Amino acid sequence: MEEKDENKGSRRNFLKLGLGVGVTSILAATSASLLTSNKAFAGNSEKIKVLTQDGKLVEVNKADLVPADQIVSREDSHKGLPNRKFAMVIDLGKCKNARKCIEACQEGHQLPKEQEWMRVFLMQDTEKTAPYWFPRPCFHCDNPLCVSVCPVGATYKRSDGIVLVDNERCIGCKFCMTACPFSARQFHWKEPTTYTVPEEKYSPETNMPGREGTVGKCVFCPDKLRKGELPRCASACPMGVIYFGDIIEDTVTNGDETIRFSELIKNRAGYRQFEELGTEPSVYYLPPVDRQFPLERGLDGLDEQQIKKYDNVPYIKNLKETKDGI
Amino acid sequence: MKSNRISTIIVLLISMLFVQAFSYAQEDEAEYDGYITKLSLSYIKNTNNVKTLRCVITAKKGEINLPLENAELKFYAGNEQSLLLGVQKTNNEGFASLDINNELKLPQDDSGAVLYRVEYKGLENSKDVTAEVSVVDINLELSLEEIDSVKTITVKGTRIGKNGEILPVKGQDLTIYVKRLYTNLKIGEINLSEDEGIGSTEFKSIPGDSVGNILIIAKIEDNELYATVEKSKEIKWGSIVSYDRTSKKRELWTNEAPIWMAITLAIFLLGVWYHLVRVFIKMRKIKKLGEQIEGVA
Amino acid sequence: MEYDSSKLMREFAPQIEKTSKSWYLVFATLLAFFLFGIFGLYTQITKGHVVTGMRDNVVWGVYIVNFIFFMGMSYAGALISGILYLFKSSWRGPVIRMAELITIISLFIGPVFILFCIGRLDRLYYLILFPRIQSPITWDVIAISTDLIGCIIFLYLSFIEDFAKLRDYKELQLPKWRKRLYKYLALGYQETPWQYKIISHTKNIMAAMVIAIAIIVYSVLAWIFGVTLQPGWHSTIFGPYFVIAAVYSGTGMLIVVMWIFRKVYKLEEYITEKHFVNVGVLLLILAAFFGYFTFSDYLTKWYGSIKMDKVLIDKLFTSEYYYMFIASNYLGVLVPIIVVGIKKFRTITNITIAGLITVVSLWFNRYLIVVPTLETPYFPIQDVRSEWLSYSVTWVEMSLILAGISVFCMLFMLASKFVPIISISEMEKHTGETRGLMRD
Repeated sequence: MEEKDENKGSRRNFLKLGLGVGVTSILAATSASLLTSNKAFAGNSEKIKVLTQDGKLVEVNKADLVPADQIVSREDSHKGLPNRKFAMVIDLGKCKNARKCIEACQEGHQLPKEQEWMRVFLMQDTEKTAPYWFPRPCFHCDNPLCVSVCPVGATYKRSDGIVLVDNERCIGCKFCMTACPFSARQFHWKEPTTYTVPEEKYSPETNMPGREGTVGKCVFCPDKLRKGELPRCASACPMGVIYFGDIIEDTVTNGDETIRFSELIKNRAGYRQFEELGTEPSVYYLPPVDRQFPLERGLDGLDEQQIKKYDNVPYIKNLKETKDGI
Repeated sequence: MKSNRISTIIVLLISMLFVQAFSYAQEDEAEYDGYITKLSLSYIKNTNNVKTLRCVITAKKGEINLPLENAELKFYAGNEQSLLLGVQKTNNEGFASLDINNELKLPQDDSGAVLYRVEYKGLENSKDVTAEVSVVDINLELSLEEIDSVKTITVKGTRIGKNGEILPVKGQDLTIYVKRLYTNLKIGEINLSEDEGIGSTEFKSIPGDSVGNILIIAKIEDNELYATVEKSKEIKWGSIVSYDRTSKKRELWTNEAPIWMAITLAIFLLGVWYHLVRVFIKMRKIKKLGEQIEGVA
Repeated sequence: MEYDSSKLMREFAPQIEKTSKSWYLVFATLLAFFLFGIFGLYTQITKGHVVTGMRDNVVWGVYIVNFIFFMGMSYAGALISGILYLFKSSWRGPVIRMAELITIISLFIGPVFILFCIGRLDRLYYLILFPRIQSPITWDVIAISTDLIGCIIFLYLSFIEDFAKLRDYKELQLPKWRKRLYKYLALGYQETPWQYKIISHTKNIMAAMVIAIAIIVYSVLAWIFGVTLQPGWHSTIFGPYFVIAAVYSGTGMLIVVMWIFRKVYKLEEYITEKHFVNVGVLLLILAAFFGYFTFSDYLTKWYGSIKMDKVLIDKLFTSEYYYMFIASNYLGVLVPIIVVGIKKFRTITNITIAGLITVVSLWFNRYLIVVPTLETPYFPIQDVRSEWLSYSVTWVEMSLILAGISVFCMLFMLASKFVPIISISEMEKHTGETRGLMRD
């Protein structure tokens, strides 16, 4: 409870902006995620519009708006939430590649548009088998090879199962990237420009701001978890594809629906991707059966370039061939 | 039984027609400068019998949906001679709430319902918005007992009549939850009987915390008549779950290495450095011998 | 053939004393390449690793390939000189110094290449400050530094006798500081029986140590790949495979170096066809071993093919990697075997060409180990950025490769100005040890 109250207090502080518009109180977007959600506002040192209480939009410096989230220090980020063991269940039958999880993640972690911690693959194992959309966060494995191979302890597994990267420890050897069989890790190949979070507010829990020459990846949003909220991808998904929860409690939820984890896995034949690799992921999948949407729906709204990335998938190959044939 | 239920439905329908606020949570909208202000009001009675009015006020224009901060909201009870319950300002999420003083005598209508209203006056160039909700106050009694070694959850619903008499809440459905980290997990449903307003259900095993404690919640949610009412109790009914990763101290992925690795490394380094040191000593010997010879020469 | 030290000193003193114009010319050219590499490095440091061809899938590129390549040659030099010394090979005299120089020079260059690959060089000391001994990189840091110390000591020991000779050779026309340096480095060695006994004893210890460390270090390097789950890397054979490949490439390099110094310093009298054939036979044996390991590795992956292994092998045999694969894993094995195996082909030039082919094809062999694997991850690469899909070398990486090669050559040139390129003491010794035993 105390933690929560503190939170609110600090959030209020953030809104005390000295604006010379003669309005004592202004209305502002309340968090960084809300701010960046608006595409027109994206960018670095530019001005941003906020709405005052009397219905006027005023311009303020974007740098003045700082997310007021509680910053967990590098040391504390090693501890993990006590008596928790987080897991994610992804229902492949419901995913239609709406990409809202990706967008929410990118907004929440101030990632550039091309950088996707959460990815949605178009999977098709063979030509004869069915294609399906496959959201892939970091698997936060219980036997994490990326952590094993790190020479300096920059990446670590916490008691609650979350695997984090400390940007201030990472030397950028990229060994973890080759060790991860799931391509979950990404390197900052150049100085990133999208971050508005100041360096002194760095926390491995958000992994913001990213630094050149270090590694970043999906963090399971511990900053949200601490506030009793779901990870950004889970709460952003319009289909309720992503369930998240504590498997000690044996409960997962997608925000709308709360289910016992063990029953969900039992009844829906849940599995873990690449179980044979032995890394023991914390992310479970429900097979893509009883689809709520035809696969093509996932291609809606994608531009030519984005569809091009699926060119090697047999399904897309066929689709393009038949199109060309006509 | 059956006729009873039908009569309840009829009563319900009538009340929906005649009671002004037919909805448990009402929303109101007003437009200015292209922004639509949206106000919503809901009522929650928690397990400690604290009645709370909750309000969210937002402004929307196209894609932009922003919460209004620091908006002054006035809360009233009653229709004609309304009673001012309090004034609250919204936070940066456009949210404000007000706990209703239980000692106040609230104006009821004929059906026993209280009409709550919230008003936002806005600033010069905006229009007023108001939202209303009508609620019949009820009490839930939650008892957790082991009857014939069956863990049973029993709920009784009551309300106070016009003359102070205690009446059962008949035929109402409610849901039983256990508290979880983010949300409540539904574990059963109870239908309050048509005569006494009592219902029960069996509790099946579910993990609790490290000592097996579990919080059981009986809840009527977003009901047309009663709005949201809940009652909860903690009990040691959960199966004990312990998850101890701290026992895994020396793994490949922990900070400290498995013993055999440390030993192997030590053997390697000792073996090599033993010989290197030997060689260093011998090299010094060569130098000393050389100096001796030079000294002689 | 008998050699005594005064004759040898007369023979080799000019190599150290005089520096020709062409030497400066070549050195200047190499220096230009080196400076170009420095410029490339500057670009990489200021603009970030984005200037390389490496991206999120292929996170390791030619830098790692060069790292393995130079480390391989280094260990090979150590192994060859160690083995030749320990087993008292009769013909080791003229070649052992060159093998030693290959060892130490590539041992200085190799680790530098892994530094190019590291994102935060400013935090490099974290490797020592916060080491995790579960990480193969930590093993590598420990192993390489141990190896470096071991090799330097071993080399120094084998130089002491020559330093003493240089010190005692009064006619040597060198500036005073050089002579004083030789005197200091000679540790007062006077060839007394006592000193001789100590020095041969320590050299024996170090030769054995260097062999052992070299095997461990190169296996550790292989395990960086082997311990991961990547298709093509996750192989139990990788340790010994890398060791053999290292010795193989180093032997090829030795032949090339022998040929160059023989030509440049007119050492035809000392390095004869016999030496080329002997090292060539070593090359042949190693070629067979290397071919066997390569075959064994790919055969098992191809025959009972797990999906990802199949994807990888399909990539190797159907894409642009096909020619590289044939060139490195077929020509690189068969050419040395045929050239050395068939007596008619066994000329100095042919053996040198075979050695050169070995060195080059082994570089591509490492490329084929590192890059295609990273291009075939378990999840398909689905990225809108086309440069993310596959790896191609950029000019920055190219400049640093060239810089590495030129530094290798430059250090060799400098070394040849500092010590006789043929170990005088070894030559003298083997005259004594094996008089009459040499086949002619």
